Amino acid sequence: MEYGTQFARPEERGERVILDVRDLLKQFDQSDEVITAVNRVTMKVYEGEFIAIVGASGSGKSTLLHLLAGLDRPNAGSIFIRGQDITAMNPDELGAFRGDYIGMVFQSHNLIPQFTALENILIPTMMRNKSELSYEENLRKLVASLGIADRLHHLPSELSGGQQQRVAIARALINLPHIVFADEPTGNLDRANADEVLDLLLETKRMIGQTLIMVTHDMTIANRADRIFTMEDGRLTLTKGHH
Amino acid sequence: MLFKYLRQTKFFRWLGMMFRSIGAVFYPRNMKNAFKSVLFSAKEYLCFFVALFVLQAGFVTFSLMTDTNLAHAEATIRAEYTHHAEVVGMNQEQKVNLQNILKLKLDLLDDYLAGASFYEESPGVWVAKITLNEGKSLETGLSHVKNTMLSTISQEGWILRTTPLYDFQSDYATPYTWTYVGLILLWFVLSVAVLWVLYRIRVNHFKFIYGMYMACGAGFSKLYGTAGGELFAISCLTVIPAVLAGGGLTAGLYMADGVAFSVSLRTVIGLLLFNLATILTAVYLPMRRMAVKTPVTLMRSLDNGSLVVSPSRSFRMFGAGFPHKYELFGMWRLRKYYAGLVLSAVLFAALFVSGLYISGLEKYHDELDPYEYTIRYGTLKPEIEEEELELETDENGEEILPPPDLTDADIEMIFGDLELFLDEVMKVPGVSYVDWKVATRGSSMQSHLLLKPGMLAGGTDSLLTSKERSDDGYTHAMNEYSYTAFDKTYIDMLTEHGLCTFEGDPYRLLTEENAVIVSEDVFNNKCYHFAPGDKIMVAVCDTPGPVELTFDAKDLLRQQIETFDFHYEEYTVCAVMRGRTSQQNITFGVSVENYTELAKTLPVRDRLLVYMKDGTDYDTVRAAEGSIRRAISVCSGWIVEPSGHYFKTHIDGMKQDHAMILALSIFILTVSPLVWFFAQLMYYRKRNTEYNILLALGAPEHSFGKLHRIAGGVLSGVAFLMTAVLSYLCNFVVHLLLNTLLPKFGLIENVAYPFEMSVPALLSCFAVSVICGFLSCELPYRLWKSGRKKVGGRISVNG
Repeated sequence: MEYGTQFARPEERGERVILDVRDLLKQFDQSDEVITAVNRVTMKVYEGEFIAIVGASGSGKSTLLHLLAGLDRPNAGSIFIRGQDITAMNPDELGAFRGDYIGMVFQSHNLIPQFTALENILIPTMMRNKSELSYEENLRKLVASLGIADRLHHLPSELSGGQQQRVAIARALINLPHIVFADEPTGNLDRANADEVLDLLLETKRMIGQTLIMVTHDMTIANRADRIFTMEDGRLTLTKGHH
Repeated sequence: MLFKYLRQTKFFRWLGMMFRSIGAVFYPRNMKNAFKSVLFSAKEYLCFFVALFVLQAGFVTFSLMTDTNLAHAEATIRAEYTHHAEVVGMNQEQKVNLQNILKLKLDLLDDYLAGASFYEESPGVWVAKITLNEGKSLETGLSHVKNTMLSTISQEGWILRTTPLYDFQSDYATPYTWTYVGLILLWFVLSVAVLWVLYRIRVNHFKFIYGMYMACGAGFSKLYGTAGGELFAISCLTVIPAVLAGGGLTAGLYMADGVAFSVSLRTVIGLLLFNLATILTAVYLPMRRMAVKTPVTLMRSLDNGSLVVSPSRSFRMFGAGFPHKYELFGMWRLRKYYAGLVLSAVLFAALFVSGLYISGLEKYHDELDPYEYTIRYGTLKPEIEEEELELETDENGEEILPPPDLTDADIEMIFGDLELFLDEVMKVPGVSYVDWKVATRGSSMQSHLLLKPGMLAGGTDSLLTSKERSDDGYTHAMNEYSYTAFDKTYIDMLTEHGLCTFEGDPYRLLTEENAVIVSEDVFNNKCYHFAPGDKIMVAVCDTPGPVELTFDAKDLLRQQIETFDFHYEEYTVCAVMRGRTSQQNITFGVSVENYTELAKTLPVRDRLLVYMKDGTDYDTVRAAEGSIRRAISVCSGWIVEPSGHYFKTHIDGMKQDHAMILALSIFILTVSPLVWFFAQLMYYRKRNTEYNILLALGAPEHSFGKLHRIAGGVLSGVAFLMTAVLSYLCNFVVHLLLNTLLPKFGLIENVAYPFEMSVPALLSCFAVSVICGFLSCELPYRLWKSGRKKVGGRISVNG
């Protein structure tokens, strides 16, 4: 897949919904109580948007993100990505869908320790079994823009925190996903690195035409989003931007 | 001042640290925490429970078997013998005199004498049975009897002999105890190795937690105390089941022979000490290695990152397949871990094969017939100052008294004596066969052999290259052989009693000129390869030259080749002899005529060994002595001496050593699956996050089954190969030790036992390795899959 072949930039396409969440509910059974982490959340996200979800610790924002990325199953409600209901998919269909359309950046990068930076970046390509020609160009541009070209043959244990996070970002983007979910990607970084990582995400978003949904507790980062949602006690409210 | 200085030394500081650390193990709060930890997380410690149970049960088995063997030996000896010494071969006058003095001493309540009785072995030949006071030293008692009683009778004709009751301590108690000590030490080393391997795996998995402990101030003492406490707690919980298992196993092994097992205090105390020593030793190294690391190094190890060998290049992942190439790439990166896993796990399986070999050797040894009587020609008194002489030993470890000085007439007479009494000796009830060996070292005759390269099998460093007949293909010279006289009687004895096998026709030696029967082994190790029809050149010295004094046979040969004049005679191999216990020389068996020519003397058959039939009762065996003495009395100068081997072999045969070794080998085999599953369960647990990442990146859930099966297949294949290699190596090393090296240095009896690998053992080994290699990957997958179901398919990747 090449840059933006399937989706034009938002301003060219008009406001097209890429993510449609309806009445999402997620509860956890603890020993003697039920905790509602996501309480009937409804939202729409348009193509090419940068959405920030903020909230206090324990508000349920990471749980919401995991539901949206298909990493967890809700107790009720539905999630449509590109018009497809991911809550109705079986695990293999969901896995394939994630591989094709979703990129995930975790807070603690979660690189696989026995593989080098380059190998970690290329792992998603193994899931989709595309030919190497599809990825070499993507890879070259990604590593150049992320500034990790000279660290590709190092193990994660040999990289700094910032470098590890860049590798994780490259891994999330190598398949040119349509929508990128980032769970506090700058949470473990200092200010300078955090700004740099955000700039890189936004730059690649601009290049590829992706939608970026980010959970963060950093308002400096959140303020750069097109819209900000606030999560509080499992409920989502729009605090910046329009519906 | 000295103490102050010593305290500063490294060793004393280490000693002090160890005292503190061992104290930390038994600190009440530590013990309490250890028990709590072990009981609440029993599943995590499961492999240690199994390992300690196996190791303790093994120790108990050893100990109980030794106690039982000793008790049984003593009971058997006491059932057969009530006296400690015998005076054999007295005439009437001597008997009367001795009877009088013994009666007097008994009436006077002699401190050392407890009783005496007499019986007439044959008309006019009397035997006195002397019982010593067991409350006193038997050695002093016997010396007292010799000096104050036996010295009062005339000294000709009689012999004083001790019985197994007297020799119980030296022939049974002490050797059994030393064997016990040796086995316990070996078991201790194995036990430490097992616990060390398992604890290393555990430590590697919990590095993060240990790092946290150290960050909070724990040092070596605390870490050691925690580790030692945990294992000690586990050992306390497994000790009773282990004792029951070991006791049950021992009882079962002896029940078939109707022997009741017995327990000594040594077993109880020994088990406690063994436990402590094993645990405290096994945890020392892992904790020591960890204590010198920085906490942060340990705390970084949340995943399997520490197992990875750092690459210089990346794999070409483009277009690579998931999960096949992914897993193979990963296995290559973690090759250090996998190599260590396979090596540790397979080594215990390989030791099982060696254990079975040792068990087979032990069984073979128990079934061997040792000789019971020696018929010697000589006028030497049996009670010579043997410590002044360095005596050679035969295959059974018995010292060979030096031959008396014989004239040519003596030799000729002795040569004919065998034909006069051999048949009568063979007719004595209970006698199976009579063996003898007449051999002269080739090196002592300034002789050597020339061999062709195809006759060399390796395994000896006694060969020199030779140019003498190199044009004819004889390129090597050696002198590690003995001229041995073979006649029809000897060949008949060897073949009729199955004492060896022959390739070829040995009887051709009697009819063909310059025919030879050869063996191939040196110290039971095949060093040469002969076949019927082979030609061997024998060097006969014409003119000796000057040589420097040397005790090295090879050096002597080198000097002889350089300075002596030889002519060479060709001999043809008519048969190759296999299966006899060998010493440092191969047999070069020639006819009596050739022997006389080569050794410059008639064969002196002055030492004969009489073997009894298996199953003969002790009374018949004892009575055979008198019968043999009567049979050989037709020729003057011969004496017969009992060895006591028959009785000892019977008692040793009840020891069930081979069954014990077999049982312990099976114990060792159980360690192999422990290592496989413990290591792999820990390893795959640490891959949970990796699997969740892969799922998050789109890996289909069903592909993880394939991933595990690929790993299982590779591990099974590697384990199969390693099993073959390690089993062979371990078995070979054991064979070398037990058949060659240890007998060479006189540390154990020399028993010719072929190198072999038990097929059932090998197959079991392969099965365990291959199955465990595969299942150790499959089981974690099943557990992961059921875990996925429990969390409803949720993917959790928060580190």
